[in-house]
Amino acid sequence: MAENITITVDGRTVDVPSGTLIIEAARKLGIEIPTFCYDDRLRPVGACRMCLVEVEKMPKLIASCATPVAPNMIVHTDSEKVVKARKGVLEFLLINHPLDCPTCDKGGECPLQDNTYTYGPAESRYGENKIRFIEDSKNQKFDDIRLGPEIFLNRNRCIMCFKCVRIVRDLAGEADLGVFQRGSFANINVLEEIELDDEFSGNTVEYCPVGALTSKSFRYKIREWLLKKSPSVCNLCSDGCNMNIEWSRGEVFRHMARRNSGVDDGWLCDRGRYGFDLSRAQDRLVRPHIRRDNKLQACSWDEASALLSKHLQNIIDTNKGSEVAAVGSPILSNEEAFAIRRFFSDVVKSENVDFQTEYPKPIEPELLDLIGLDGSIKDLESDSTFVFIGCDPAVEHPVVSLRIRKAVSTYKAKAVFISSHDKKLGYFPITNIRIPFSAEAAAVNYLVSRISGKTTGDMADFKIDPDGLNRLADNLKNAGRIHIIAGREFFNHPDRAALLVGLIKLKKSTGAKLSILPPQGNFIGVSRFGLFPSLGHSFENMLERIESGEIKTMFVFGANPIDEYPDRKYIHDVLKNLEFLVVVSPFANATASLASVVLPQAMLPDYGGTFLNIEHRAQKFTPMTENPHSDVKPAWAILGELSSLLDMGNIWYSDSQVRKVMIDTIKEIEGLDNLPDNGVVIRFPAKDGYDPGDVSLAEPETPGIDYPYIMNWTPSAHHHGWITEKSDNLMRISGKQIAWMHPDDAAREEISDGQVLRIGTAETALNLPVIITTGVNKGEILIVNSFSANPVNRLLKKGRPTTFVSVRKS
Amino acid sequence: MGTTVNKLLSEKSIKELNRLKGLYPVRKSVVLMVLHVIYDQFGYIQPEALKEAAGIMEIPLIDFHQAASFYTMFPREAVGKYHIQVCRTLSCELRGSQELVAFLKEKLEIDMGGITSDSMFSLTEVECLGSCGTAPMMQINDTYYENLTRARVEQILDDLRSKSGNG
Ligand code: SF4
Ligand code: SF4
Ligand code: FES
Ligand code: FES
Repeated sequence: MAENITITVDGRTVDVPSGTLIIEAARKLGIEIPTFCYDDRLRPVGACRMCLVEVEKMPKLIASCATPVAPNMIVHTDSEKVVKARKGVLEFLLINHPLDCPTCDKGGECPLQDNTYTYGPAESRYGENKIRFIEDSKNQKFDDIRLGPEIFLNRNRCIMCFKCVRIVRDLAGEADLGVFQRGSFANINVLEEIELDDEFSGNTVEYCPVGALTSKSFRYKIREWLLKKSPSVCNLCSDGCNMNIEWSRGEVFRHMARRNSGVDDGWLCDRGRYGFDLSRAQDRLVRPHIRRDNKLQACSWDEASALLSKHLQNIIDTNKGSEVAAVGSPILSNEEAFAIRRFFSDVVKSENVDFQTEYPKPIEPELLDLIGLDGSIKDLESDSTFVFIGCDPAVEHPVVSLRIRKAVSTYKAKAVFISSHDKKLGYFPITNIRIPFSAEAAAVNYLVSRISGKTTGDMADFKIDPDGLNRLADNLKNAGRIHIIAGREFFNHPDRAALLVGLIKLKKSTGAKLSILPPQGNFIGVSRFGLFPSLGHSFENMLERIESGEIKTMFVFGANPIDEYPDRKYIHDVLKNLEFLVVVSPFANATASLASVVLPQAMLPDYGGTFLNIEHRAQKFTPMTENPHSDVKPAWAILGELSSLLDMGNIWYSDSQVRKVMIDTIKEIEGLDNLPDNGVVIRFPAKDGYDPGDVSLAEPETPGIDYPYIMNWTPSAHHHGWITEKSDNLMRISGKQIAWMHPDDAAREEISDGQVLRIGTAETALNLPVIITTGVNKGEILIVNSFSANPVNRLLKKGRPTTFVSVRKS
Repeated sequence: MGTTVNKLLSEKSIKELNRLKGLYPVRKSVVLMVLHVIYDQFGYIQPEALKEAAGIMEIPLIDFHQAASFYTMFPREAVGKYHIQVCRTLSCELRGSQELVAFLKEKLEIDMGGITSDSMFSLTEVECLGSCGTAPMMQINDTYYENLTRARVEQILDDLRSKSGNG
């Protein structure tokens, strides 16, 4: 343990662990030292000199952000010398600064403005011409250069604090941004042909201490002091990053980080940050619609509710609850999930409730206890070996992956990916162990046998090259804190049962932590608070019973099965059998277009509630207090009103009131009542010792001659699920859908990089541009992104675990 | 992702890069040495060759560009077979470097920073080359030419031209 050191700052003493920076010691006393380049989460660089302090017995002033404390230091942060030095530093920083605050976006929230106002000289003595970077373009001159689809840079405002570069390089591990030239000409830039578009690029704008970096989606739109802030929680993945929704007159202008050191540590990924325009997307539903003359037509809530209550009254009166099904989604809040379960079991008397529209098979109930992060998000930084199986943290958990990047880059942890295609954590060193598509279960079982010294089965059947696995097995035998993490591909896995058995055995034989992480928003919350299906009532079962005519009415809340279910044609045909389909959704979508009634659902900035993230942390989000969409409602409000129309009580009028009922019902969640700003981690008692028994491995399928390639697909860091494509921002930043193909296959098919491929099954095809890369296996095609205009699930077929396709130039 | 094909780098350069690769405990420290390799082969920092080198060294390309732009002595565009750098700092200036520059421009029919149409000569001004005692002076490739006069400059150009003309 590091011992403590006592120092004196401005006449007061403080005790801090050795290694603490002077600036942090002062902070502990509540003494704020002004800074520009310092950020406690980034490596100190001592670039701006704003934080100079006087230390007795030291001849010169020193940078408090880059100097650790030493025993008996006596520090002055406000002496005459310091005051004078600060003035000098600011005068220098302003020499080439354009002082264009009136037209600068940062005005009002600018550390340079604030520090100059507080500590700076009132006047400049510099009479010479300022250096100005100007970009010539089509006979116009611009101060701003475009770094990427979202980020612009005005180099004249830049004070060279290197925060942006450190964020891009040290935090994200991307090589996009750099410092060029030197002295007064030193400037930040990207290389030609390079775009600053990594999944964390927006953080550079938020943390730039001047108005040098701006976001296309925000610049020149509004002044900071006109914005109101609603504390909220992102639900575009299950990390649950805290953020402020910043809005004015009911319009959201941006999302900014709201630092929760246990969760996001003040970072947001670009999906969460720039997805702020979702609430006013073109496809946003803001009014109820009823099908009349075979067309969906806008109507009033009164009309829609009257129709629904009449329909339900009939069902209740005739005791036909089992003919009704309800499908939720991980975009719902805990309160919505709870209300849906309550309404359908108590009012409609139906057990048909689920939310798993994305997976071919429902999740085993025992699995519920295993889902979520083993340990806390913060703990990830101190794990020493990560083994990812069917999980791509950079895509599925962007901000949480920053902890893993830190473990790898700073604490030299190892990250190993077992996968059919290459994955990465920026440019930080990782190991990809490549296996054929869906051979995860076989690979894990092989690892287990190898580690426990049992004879390993023959891997030739599974076409696995055992070298990488052998090395990993040997390393795991004497590795420190091992963390096995499974994700999206685990849930989608055709042989999930066998993979789970393998993972549990691997955990036992290595003493590892095991985390099974669903990537979608509030997956854990909705499954804990009501939407997890009881046996025989999963979405899968519902579909069968729709086909057989037993289920005639379906309510869909926030889900979009047509775009989500892994067989588009099948789900479409099944849903068409319904007599009455009600779709409650924030957006128009393919499923809503089949509905009899469509209801506009409240989404993030419209309502309040709670989510659970991957570490089971319950966190509260709050609405804007002015909202132009007066007709949108959360599921609990819709069901509350219906229930009152049906004379059944159960009237929910606020999220906190739903929460009260929840707390009365589920005792582990008392904490939900009065959530602190940083949330509360809820501990659900686990039924431990879950032993799934032994399962034999499914034989891999071999392709035929006509359809020789195996098709796999993955979402990307900017797009996950069907919702993100509704965001113009996200589509602009990264709206491309591409296919990866191995160079050998490309050569055989005479296909060159960038050509459009026709990827087809016997029934249908998708046309996509190709990237030729060794990052994918020979004989496999990997599609990146699925959009409703060109959906991957058109190629998928129910009951067919492997999709074989043909490929040719289109 | 895909491997880059080395088209521009000579075998000698590639060999040198591979030798340098294992030499530094902090991998990035090799950046300047790599720039020298490129400079030696091309006389300037040839961008496509630099890409190839970055691939071999497994260091992000941007690191090389950052370093190259920090130093003024790595030309970033193609220079002539004879790259003329005239000192323009105080001693040389006082001893008439500006006249020499004007003469060079006239004689070579190029502007400052330019290159002759036969790619034989290119012209730049640089800061003090530490040869103030023999001002005015210029450096052509790796050679210093000192105590210059118009006549001497003319002579030097002619010599270089005929030398190269004779192969
Ligand atoms: S652009 Fe902003 S963050 Fe980047 S170095 Fe300049 S002032 Fe710092
Ligand atoms: S990591 Fe997930 S929760 Fe955090 S901002 Fe990104 S999408 Fe939102
Ligand atoms: S904050 Fe200390 S040098 Fe910039
Ligand atoms: S001034 Fe020309 S060499 Fe020093």
